[in-house]
Parts: sequence; C-alpha cells; structure tokens
Amino acid sequence: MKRAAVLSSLILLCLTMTATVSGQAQKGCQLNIVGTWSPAEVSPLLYRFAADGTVTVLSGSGQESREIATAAYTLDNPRAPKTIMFKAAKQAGELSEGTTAMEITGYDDDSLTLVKPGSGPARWVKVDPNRYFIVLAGRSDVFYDRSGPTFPMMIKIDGQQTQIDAVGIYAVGNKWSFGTVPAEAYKEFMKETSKASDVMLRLEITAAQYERGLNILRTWERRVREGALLYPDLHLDNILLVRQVTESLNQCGEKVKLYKLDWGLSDHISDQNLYSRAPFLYFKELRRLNESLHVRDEKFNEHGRMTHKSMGR
Amino acid sequence: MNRRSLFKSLANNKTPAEPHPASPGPAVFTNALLRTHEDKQVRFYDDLIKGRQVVISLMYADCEGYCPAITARLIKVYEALQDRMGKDLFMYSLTVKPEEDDPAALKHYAQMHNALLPGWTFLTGDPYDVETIRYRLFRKDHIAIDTDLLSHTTALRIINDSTNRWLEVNPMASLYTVLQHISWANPRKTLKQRMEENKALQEKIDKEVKQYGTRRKV
Repeated sequence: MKRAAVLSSLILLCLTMTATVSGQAQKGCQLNIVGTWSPAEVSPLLYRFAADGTVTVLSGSGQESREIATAAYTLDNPRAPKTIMFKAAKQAGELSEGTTAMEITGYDDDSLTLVKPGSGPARWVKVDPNRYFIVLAGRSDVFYDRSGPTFPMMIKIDGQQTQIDAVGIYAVGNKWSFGTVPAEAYKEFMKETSKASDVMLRLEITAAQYERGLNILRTWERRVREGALLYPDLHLDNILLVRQVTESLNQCGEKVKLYKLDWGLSDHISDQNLYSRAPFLYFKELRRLNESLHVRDEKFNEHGRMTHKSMGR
Repeated sequence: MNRRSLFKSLANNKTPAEPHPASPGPAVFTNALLRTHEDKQVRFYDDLIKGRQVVISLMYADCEGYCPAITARLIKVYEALQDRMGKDLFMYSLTVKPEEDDPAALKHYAQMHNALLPGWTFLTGDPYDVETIRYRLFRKDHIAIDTDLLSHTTALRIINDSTNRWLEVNPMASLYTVLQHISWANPRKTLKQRMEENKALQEKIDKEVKQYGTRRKV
C-alpha cells in the first residue's frame, strides 16, 4: 500500500513537471502580442493588437475586414506574460462585456495558447500577409586565403516590394570588407548555383524570427558605423554575427538544426580551418542539416508571385 | 628642462591625475553613458576610468552560480584596501544583463550582499554599450567563452589608467593573489617616497642587526 502510494505520487509529480515544462515558453522567448491574431478553432474573427494596449476585433480578412469592436488589453508581465486581461464595452467574439481574464499557457513566435475560464485551451495563430526569409549565402576561393563573401540576408516580401538587408563580409574587387552588403554584392547570391564553391540556405521564417534577425543586423551596422566592433579581427566579428543570427531563429523553440561553432572538441570546422573560412563551412553544414527546409529558387519565386496575387496588387 | 629641474620634478611629483599619454582613452574604454545603482548617469571613461586605478568585475542580479561567492570575495578585497577605496582606488561591478538589471535591481543586489560601500559602484546601461565594454575589457578572442555570460563573472580586470597598466585575475584565487595583482597596478611612487621607504627599511635592518647580530627576517 505504502509502496503504491509512493509510486503514484512519483508518477503524479512527473506528469505535473512535464505539463509545466511543455506549457511554458522557452527561456529568452518573448511574446510579441502586437499584430493580428486568429483563434481559428473557436472563432472566425480576427483580433488586431496594437502597442498602445488596444485590441480591435475584425470580421473578414484582408482589405475587406470590418471593425466590430475595440477593447483594452493588459498583460500581467509583458516579457513573460501568464495572464491577459480584456476590458470591452460590449461582447465581441471571445471578449465578454466587461472584464475577461484569460490564462496564457504557452506561446512561441507565431502562436499563443489562451485558456478562457470555463473553456478549454485555444490556440491563437498570428496572421501576417507578408512573407519572410533568411538566406545564408557564401562563396569560397575568392580572397587570397581561400575565403570569400559570407553573410546572412533578411528578406521581407510584402506584396508591393521586397526589402533585403544583408550584413557581413563581402567583396570589393578582390579585397574583402565587413559591413552592410551593397545591393550589387548580394544580388548575385539571390539565386542558387551548382558550384561547389557556393553555398546557400534559404529558409522561410516567421515575422518574429525576421525581426530578431534584422535587429542583430542593425546592431552590427551600428557597430561598423561607430567603430564599436567587438573583435579587432573582422573575421571573428563575422563569425559572431552569423552565430547570433542563426541562433536567434531558435529562440522560441528548435525550428532549425544548428551546428555548434564554439571552438569545442566536437567543432571540426573551427578546429581544421582558418577563422575566415569558418562562416562559409558553417553555412554548408547548416544547409546539410536543414536540406528539407531549404526553399529552392522555383518555390521562392512562387512565394513572391503568390504574395503579389493575395495582396491584390 | 635642465638636470636640476628634472630631478626636482622627479622628487616632488605627485601621483599623476591625468591619464598616461599612452592611455587608449575613450577609443577603447568608450565613453558610454551608464547608470549607477544610485540611478546617477555617468560617462564610462570620463567619470569612472580617467586617471584612476580601478577594479572591474562583471555580474548580474539573479546570478546564483559564482556571483555571490565572487561578491563575497570582493568584499574581502574591499576590506583589505578600505583606506584607499573611493580615494585612489575604485571598484565597479557591471551587469552583463542590462535588459533585466535596472539601478534598483543593482542596489537590491548590493544591499543583499552587504556591498553597498563607498567607492564601489554597480553599473548598468544600454545593452549595446554594455556589450561593447564587456568585449573591450574582458574579451578572450574565443567565441564560446566570449558569448558565455557566466564565464565572464569569473574574471577581475584591474586597470590603472594613469600608468596604462592592465591586469586580470580570477577573483576566486587567494585573497593574497588578488591583492598582489591589484598592487601591481598601483600608482608609481615618487622618488621622495621611495627614498623615505628605503630609509625606513634600512633603519629597521640596522636595528635588527644591532639587537640580534643578524637580520631576523628577510
């Protein structure tokens, strides 16, 4: 009897711990509530959260969406919220008249699980008409030490225009430079080649992943501008930059398989190669590890056309 | 300058208040605007480093690993050098998590560890500036070590800007070792001070020799 009681309490403890871990967001993962969300499973309405603490309930989608109601919302802790409180003047969709408190049991880059009192958990998904990509591009055997241009590109396609930001090592003639990659330098890396000296990994990412990656690029652009680089060796700066950008993809859960470029015992890339060649070989390894996620040229171009159509432009 | 004025200036010179001509100045230290645990704005080089001897450590308020033990060791260092603290020696603890540690959090940490002491300042600031300072002062040119915030808390950077002397020591080394490293960055003594010290030592030796016929301690 005693043994059975101990065993059952152990099982209960394990179950509780599992539930707690799976319900929590990843450490370092911050919820960005601002944007449009859809609790697709429970309501056809859309909820547009603004940074000023207001939420607008919309019916329909795209340009035909109609405003039904507005309410105020507050998060108990904006960095790691556990509860969201709505104050609405009238009932609209999931919001009752007066105050509605919902428990936030989990979130990642593009989804949120909310529990309304008396109902089960509902998954809310972020709705974004834009498409986002990251391209890890590199070429070897360009400079005297067999290294070459290597940089990450963040791409946003909003239907009307494509915004491309790239920072890293690029070629100026037969010399290399570190900083914002000019358009003429990154354009030749927009298409895949079959050359062994080239590498490209193109992934479709969420708005949150894009924003994080873009912030990292902006910070490095500022460092270049202000002469505040972290290493005197620009190749080390480039390694740090590509590591920061790629690791930021997994800040809210493992979305991409990463290689540990850390000078450790199992890091054969930095063990056997010059610093300057490490980002190129790192991208090659990431391409190998994430082959199934790679967006090929045809599909990428299709994405662009689809976005143009769906936006009706 | 003639010989007489040169020796006169050597004998009378004081601890230089200005940074050494070779001091890298804000180009290396940065002159970032930081906030102290008392919520005062300070410029990193101009207000905290320029012409001073400083001991800089890294920490973060919710650090449960090495940080409390290191802070406890730093208190011992502070006590041993109490007479100089805030006068010609200053201690700074810079958070490596500035997004989380505001001045109030730093003050709470200092209070909790009995480190709210004159001459010891806890600092926070814009994450961009804090990262720049961290790399400028504690960089090891090793990606894994440099990106590991916890490993940074296990180093003390000792700088005397007036002599441009930089040293690093592990705070968990013996107290003697830490104090010895700090002393290696001490301001240069004047000729007069060194002559007085030599004179006092010689008098002590003479006294011992007279009393015991030999020196008791070497």
